[in-house]
Amino acid sequence: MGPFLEMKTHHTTAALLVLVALLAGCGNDQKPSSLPIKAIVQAQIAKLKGGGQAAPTGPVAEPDGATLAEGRRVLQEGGQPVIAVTDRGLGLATFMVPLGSNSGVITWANPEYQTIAMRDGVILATRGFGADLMSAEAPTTERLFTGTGAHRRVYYVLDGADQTQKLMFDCQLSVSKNETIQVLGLGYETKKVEEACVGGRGNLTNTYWFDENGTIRQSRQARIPGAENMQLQAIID
Amino acid sequence: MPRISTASAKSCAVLLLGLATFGAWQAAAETGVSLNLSGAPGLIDMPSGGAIATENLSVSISGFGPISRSTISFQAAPWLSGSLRSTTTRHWNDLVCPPSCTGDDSLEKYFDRSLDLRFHVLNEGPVLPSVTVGLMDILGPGVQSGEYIAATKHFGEKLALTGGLGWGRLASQGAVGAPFGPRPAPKNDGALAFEQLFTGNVAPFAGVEWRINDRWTAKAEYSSDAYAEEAGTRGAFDVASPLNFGIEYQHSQMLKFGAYSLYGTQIGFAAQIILDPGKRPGGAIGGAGPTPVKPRPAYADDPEAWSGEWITQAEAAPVLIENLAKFLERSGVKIEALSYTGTTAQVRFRNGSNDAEAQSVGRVARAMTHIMPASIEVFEIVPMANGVPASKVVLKRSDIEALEFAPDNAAVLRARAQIVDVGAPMANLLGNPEIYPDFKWSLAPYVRLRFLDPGAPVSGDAGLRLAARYEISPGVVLHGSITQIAFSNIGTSTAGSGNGLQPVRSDAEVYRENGSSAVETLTASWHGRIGQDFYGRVSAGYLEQMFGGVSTEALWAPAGKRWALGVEANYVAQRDTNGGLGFSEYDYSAVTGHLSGYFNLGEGYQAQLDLGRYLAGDDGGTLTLTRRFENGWKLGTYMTLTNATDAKTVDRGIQIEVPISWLTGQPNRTTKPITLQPFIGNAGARLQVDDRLNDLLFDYSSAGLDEQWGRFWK
Repeated sequence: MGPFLEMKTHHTTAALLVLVALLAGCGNDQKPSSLPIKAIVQAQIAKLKGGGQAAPTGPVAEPDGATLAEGRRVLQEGGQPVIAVTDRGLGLATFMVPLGSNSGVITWANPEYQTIAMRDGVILATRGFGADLMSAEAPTTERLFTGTGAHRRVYYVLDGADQTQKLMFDCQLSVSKNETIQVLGLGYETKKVEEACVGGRGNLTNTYWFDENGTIRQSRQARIPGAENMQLQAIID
Repeated sequence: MPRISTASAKSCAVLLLGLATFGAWQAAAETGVSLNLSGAPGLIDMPSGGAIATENLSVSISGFGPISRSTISFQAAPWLSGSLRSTTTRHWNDLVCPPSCTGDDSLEKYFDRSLDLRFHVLNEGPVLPSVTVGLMDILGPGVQSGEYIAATKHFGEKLALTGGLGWGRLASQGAVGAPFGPRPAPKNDGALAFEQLFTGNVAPFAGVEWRINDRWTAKAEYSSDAYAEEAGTRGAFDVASPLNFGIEYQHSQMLKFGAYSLYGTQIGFAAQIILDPGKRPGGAIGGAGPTPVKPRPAYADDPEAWSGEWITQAEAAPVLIENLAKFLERSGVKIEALSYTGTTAQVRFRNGSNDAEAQSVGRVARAMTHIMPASIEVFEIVPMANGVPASKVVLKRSDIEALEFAPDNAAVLRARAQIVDVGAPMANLLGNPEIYPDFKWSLAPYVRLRFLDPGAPVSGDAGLRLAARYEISPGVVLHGSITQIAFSNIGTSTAGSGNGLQPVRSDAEVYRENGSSAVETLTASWHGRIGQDFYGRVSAGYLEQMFGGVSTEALWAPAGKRWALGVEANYVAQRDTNGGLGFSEYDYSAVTGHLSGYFNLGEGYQAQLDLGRYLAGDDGGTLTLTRRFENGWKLGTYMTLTNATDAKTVDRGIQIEVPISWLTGQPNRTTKPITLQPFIGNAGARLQVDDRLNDLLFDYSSAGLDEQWGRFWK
C-alpha cells in the first residue's frame, strides 16, 4: 500500500538526534568528536556571562584555531546545515539545524525545541523562548541587501494575557563599512547593513553582514521588541 | 425574603451597571497609588482620591493595637472598585462585660465582614485632583459603615495632598455639622442602607504623602475617625490624638510594607500586595516549541502521495492513531479517537498539560500535517473533557500550510476556522486502545485555605492526599481520595449556625477534629453529550467531605451563543464526622437542586444565576460574577440570598483561582493551587461536586477557545 502509512519515527526528530549527539559534549560524554564543540560552546557562554568581554579570569580559554577547525569539521560531518545562535539576554549559546521548511521559510531548532523561523536569514518567528515572536511583517533579504530606503516592519507578540499585540516600526536601511568577520574559524568579507527602526514602543536596530554571494552570513536581530538582539551565524550552508 | 431580594436587586444593579459600562472609560488610573490600613487607596487610616490600575487585585493585611484587618480589593473598571474585608477587634468586651455579657457583649474578640464600593469619579489632571466617592460596609450592621468624598492632587513627583469629607464613622471626630439631616439608626437587615448614605454629621480629614525616593514614602494625616465604638464605648484602646504618621517601604513592584504611629498611643503595621492577574510575573508562557507544519508536496511532484487509495487499507486507522500519538507525546496531548473519509479527518484528543486549549488544538493541527495522507484537506479537531466531545474546530489544511508564517497568523486563521457543535460521530470512529481504561493515582500534600473566617483571617488545614482515578470508558470515571490532616488552624467557625438550620456547613470544625484521617470522596460519575449542544452528568457516592448521594445535571450550551442553561437535581445525606462511610450521625437527607443560567458578558466577564433549594432546605438564589483572565486566573464574587439568610448570615464572598502556569511560566492544566474561599454558613450552602458541566466545558467552547486563540501557533 501507500508508502506513507508505515510506522514512522519522525525524520524531524532524527535530524535533531545528530545535533544532540554533537552537543553531548556539554555533558559528561567525553567522545573525542564532541570535545571541540564543547570547548566552543563553553567559551561562547563564558563570553556572555562576562558581559561581552572575552572571559575575564575564568578557566575557559578562547578556543584556538585548531579547535575551531575541528569543530567545524565535526558539524560538517552531521551532513546538514547548522547555524549558531547566541543571546546575551537569555544567556543562550547554541547550535541549530533545520527542523522544517514551508514555502521558503526554514524553522531551525536546537535539541530543546527552541526554534527560529527565518526566510533567507531574516527572522519571522520564534518559539520556545517564553516571550516569542508569533509572526512578523519583515523585509526580504534582497530588500535588505540594497542597504537603502525605508520600510514598515511589524512584530506580532503575545502579552501576559495571551492577547496578540501588534508592534509597528518605521525602518531605514543604511550601509555601514565593509567588514571581515570570523565565523567558526573562517573569515568572510562582508557588506554590513543596518536597519534602524523607530516605533511606538522604543527603537531597535537589526544588523546584517552579507557575504560575497549576498547570503546573510551573520546578523544581530531583535527576537521581540525590547529584548536584546540575538546573534545568528550561518556556519554550514 | 422580599426585603432581602430588594437588597440583592439593588446591589446587583450597581455591579451590573459597572460591567455594562466597562470599557467606556479609557482613562488610565494613576500609578504609584498606595493603600490605607483598610486596603483602600489612601493615606494611613483615611482614604484618598486615587484608584489602583484597572483589573488589578490588591490584598492588604494590617494591624494596630487591638484591631486587625485583611482586605481583598478588585478594581473592576477605571471608575469602580470593591473590597471585601474582615476586621477583628480584640478587647471588645473589656469595659462592658461584666455587667452586660450577652449577645455581642459576650465576645472578647469581635469579628466583622464588610463590603465597600468606591467610585473613582475624576482622574487627576493638570489642574483638577483625582476624586473618589466611597461607601464603606454598605451591607453591614453599621459599626464599620461610613461614606466619604476624597480628593488627591500631586505636586511634582514627590508631594501629594489629600483632603476629604467623611460621614458615618468617618465623622466621629471633629464633625462640623449635619448638612443632609440626622443619620437614621441602622436597620441591620442586610439591605443596602440607602437612607443612611451621606446623612448625619460630616467631618473633614486631610493628609500628605512625601515620596522620599523610589523605595520610601512618608505619610501624615488628620483622621476624622474617633473609633467611637471600639475606643470609646468598649475601651479597646485609647485615642489621644487624631494625628497619624507613617513610613512605607516599596519592597518590589508588587509588595509594600508600612509602619505607623496611630492616634497617639498605638503602633501599626501593614503589608500590601497589588498585582495584575492579566500579567504573568515571569512574562510569557514558556515550554518547548512545536514541530513546524509539514506542507504537502505539490501534486505534480508526487501524485502518489495524493492518492486516496490508502483509505481502503485495513490497518490505516490504528497506524495513523499510533503515529499521531507518538508525534504529540512531547506536547502533552493524547489522542482519544480518529475517524476519516478520503478528504476529512477527525481527531479527538485530550489535553494533558497545556493551560491554553487553543495551543493544544494548534499542536494537533501541526501533527496532522505530518501524519495524515495528502488527500485529507479538512481537519476536524475535537477537544475531549472527561470523555465529552466539547466542541469541534474545523480547519482547512491548506490554510494551516499557507498561514504558518503569515503576519498576524492567529487572527487570520481564526477568521477561516469554524468552532461548532461536534455533531454525530463519523461512521468509522476508532478509539485509541492506549487511552481506556486509564488508571492514575497520586500522593501529594494539599492545602485547603479559607479566607475571612471568623476565627482567623486566613485559616485552613494541610496534610497529605492520596487520590486515585480510574476511567473505564469515555465519560465513565471512578474516583476516590483520602486525606490525612497534618496541620490545621481552624478557628471557632460557628457563625451562621443559628437559624435552627441543619448544620450542613457549620460543623466543618467537627469534621476536621473527628476526621483527621478521612475518606474525602469516593464516586462513580458519567459525563456525556446527550444531543446537539446538550450535555449530561450523573455523579454518585461520597461526593464531598460532608455529603454523599446522587447528583444529576443537564446543560444546554448552544455553540457560538453567549449563554447556557443548566438544571441540577441531587438527593444527598449528611455524612458522619469521622470521615468514614456512615450516614447515621446526623440522620439528615435532602433533595436539592438548581436552575442555572450562565451568561458570557464579554471582556472575560461571566454571570451565573442559580435558583433553587440549598442543602439546609432553604430556597433562594445565588448570583455569581466571574472575571476569567485569558491566562487562567479567575476572580469571582457571589452573593446568596435565601429564605433563611439574614444580615449576619447572608453569604457573600469571593473566590480566586490562580493557575500554576501563571506562577511558573510553564504550561500546566492544574488550576487550583490557590483557592480562597470565604466562610460558608448553613444558609445558602450548595453541594460541592467535582466537574460541574459548565466549569468543565467552558474552556473548550468557542468562547473559551477564542479567549486564548493567540496561543494556537505557540
